[in-house]
Parts: sequence; structure tokens; C-alpha cells
Amino acid sequence: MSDALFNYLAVGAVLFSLGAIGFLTRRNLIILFLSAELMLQGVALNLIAFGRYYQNMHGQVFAVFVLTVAACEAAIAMAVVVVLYQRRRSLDVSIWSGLTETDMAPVIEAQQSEAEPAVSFPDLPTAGRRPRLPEKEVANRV
Amino acid sequence: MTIDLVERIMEWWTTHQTVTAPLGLGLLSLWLLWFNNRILRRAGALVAGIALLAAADGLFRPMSGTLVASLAMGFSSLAIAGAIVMLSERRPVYAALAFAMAVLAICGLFMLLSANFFAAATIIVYAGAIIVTFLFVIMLAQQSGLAEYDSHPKHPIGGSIIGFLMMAALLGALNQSIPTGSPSESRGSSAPLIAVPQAVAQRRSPLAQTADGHGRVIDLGRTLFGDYLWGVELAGAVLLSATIGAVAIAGQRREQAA
Repeated sequence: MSDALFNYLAVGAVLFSLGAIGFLTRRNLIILFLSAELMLQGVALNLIAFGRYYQNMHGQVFAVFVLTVAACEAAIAMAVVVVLYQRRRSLDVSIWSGLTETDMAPVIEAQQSEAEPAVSFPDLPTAGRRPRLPEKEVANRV
Repeated sequence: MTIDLVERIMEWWTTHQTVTAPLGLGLLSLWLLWFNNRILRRAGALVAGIALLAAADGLFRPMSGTLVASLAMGFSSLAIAGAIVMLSERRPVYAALAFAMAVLAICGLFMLLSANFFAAATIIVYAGAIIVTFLFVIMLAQQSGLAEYDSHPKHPIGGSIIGFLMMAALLGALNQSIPTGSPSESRGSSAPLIAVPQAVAQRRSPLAQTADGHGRVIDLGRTLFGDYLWGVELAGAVLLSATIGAVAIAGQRREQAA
């Protein structure tokens, strides 16, 4: 029985570590939270394996609470991500590196952080007649 | 002196081979997967497959029954492969779908552990609600083409090395604390996870004990609402506060700059 327990615990440990790598490495906010959810899944697998090993239901009950908290965390995380995206129009997490301690150097990797304007210009209709442009150039414009 | 060092390295390798070989190959595969070159990424996927094979060869302990063993190996490989794809995939939608596949494989492992209700609940909550919510947010926050922050992760090598060091520590500790072989052989040695006294298993309450060792929903319900009633009520309160919080955070009107 303990050999099978080792299998499940090893898979749980590997999933937790892979989730930790994803959380440390990725810059997309969504993938960051998905990695956190992967860590929680590894922990749940560990709990269920121990519950099965000790032949009682405490492991599954604990895993149910882990699942509940994970769902709550996902809901609030998605709300926060939506609000953050509305501020800066990007899902990059290194944009918000200014929230760290003030004496640390910012971790901004991208070059476009300087070019972000703080004020948004209103959408004005174009004036005048639309010029005749070749088809290729028109297709290249968004 | 150098021959002695080489001998010591070889000796360390033979004792720690089962953990070091798959993890070294896994680290190499992740290093290859962090590139933006298509050939290097495919080589990384190939090395990841070899790492999984090495892990299945060295780290996988024999289980009772070939069907159970093959199912467990298949689900474990799918889960780890889905996790690796989610780490290295540059397009967020495909990364979320790889995570969905990993969740389904983990639910297969839950079924093998006789946690039927929990497998179904995980599929409904994770693959049904959480991933769909994530995909909705990806759809709302989508940019045309590959974003710069997806193709250039920050400190990929450092993060991978740290993660694999943690994985090596966990797997090494597990490998040493659960010796191979049947439990009856190693009763005399220091094996903390082998002998489970019945008094410990039944310490909380007889409600928690299952009838035949396999999990049933009625046993889960008895334990949940018998031993952990406080926890259930508090979980309901946490869910309610999370709902209110999500509506309060995301329901605000967008502030206009003008």
C-alpha cells in the first residue's frame, strides 16, 4: 500500500513544483493564477492519497475545503485581473512592479513601459475625404 | 585525487539515480522549451517525454494490478505533461486548455483513489467554472497576435532551477522515507509511513471510518457534516464574501479620464 502511496505523493509533489515554476516565471496574469491553481491541485491530490491510505474521510474533507477556497480565490483573482487590465490595457505582471518596496529596482522587462500615456485621447471622426490608398496598405492598417 | 572524486560522483549517481535522472532531463526540457525557436521547443517536448519515461521507469513503484498501475501511470503522465505544456505554451488559451487536460487527468487519479464524489466536484468546479471564467477573461483581455509578455518570461532559468531543486528535495525525501517493497518487510527499520495504528486512524470519530476502505459519498457526507460542521458553515461564509467581493471589485464603473 505504501508503494502506491508513494506514486500519488510523488505526482502531487511534481505538480506542486511545476506550478511553483509557472508562478515564478510567467508574466501573464492569467497563467500566473492558473499555476497557483495547479499548486492547489497537487496539494489536493496529496490530501486524497493520504485519506485513502488511512482509510478515513478526513483527507477528502480537507480537500473539499481546499477546493472551496480555490474557487473563491479564482473568482476574486479574475475580478482583480479585469480591473487591472482596464487600468493599463495589458496583462503583464511586471507593469505593476512599482508596487514593490521603494528601495528595490523595478523589474520591468518590457520596453513599452515608458511609452504608455497616462491620458486617453477621445475618439474623433476623421475629417475630409478618405484618400485613395493601394489595397495592400489598407489591409495592413488595423 | 581526481579518480577518487570521480568515484564519489559515480557512487552518488548510482544511489540518487532514480531521482536525478528524470529531474535533470526535465530541467533540460524546460530550458529548451523556454526558447522561441520552433525546433528547440519541439526538442524540448521530446526531452520532456524522455524525462517522463525515465520517471516512470525509476520512480514508479509497483502497484496492485496491472490495470490500476497502467491507469495510474497514464493519468500521472497526462497530468505532468499538461502542467509542462501550461508552463511553456506562449498562447494563453492553449495554456488554459492544457491546464484543463491536467485537471481531467488529476480527476482520473482521484477516481483511482476511490474519491468519486471529489473527482466529479473537481471537474465541475475546476474544469467547468474556474477554467471557463479564465477563458472569458482571456477573451476580454485578448491582444491580436502573440504578446511580448507571453514569449519572454522573466528569469526562466532561475525559476526552473529553483522549482527543480524543490522537486528534487521533495522526491528525495519521499524516496527515502517510503522504502521500496511491501510494508511487512520493513517493519523493523525506520519507516514512519508504513504502520498505521488503528487508534490513530479512528482518533477523531467513528463517523470518519469507511466501511470497507473504499470511499463512498455517504461516508464523506457523514464526516463533513458530522465532524466538520463548523468548517462547512465557515466555507459557506467564505463563498458568500468572495461573491460579494468579486461583484464589488469588478462591478465598478470604469473611471473616465476626461
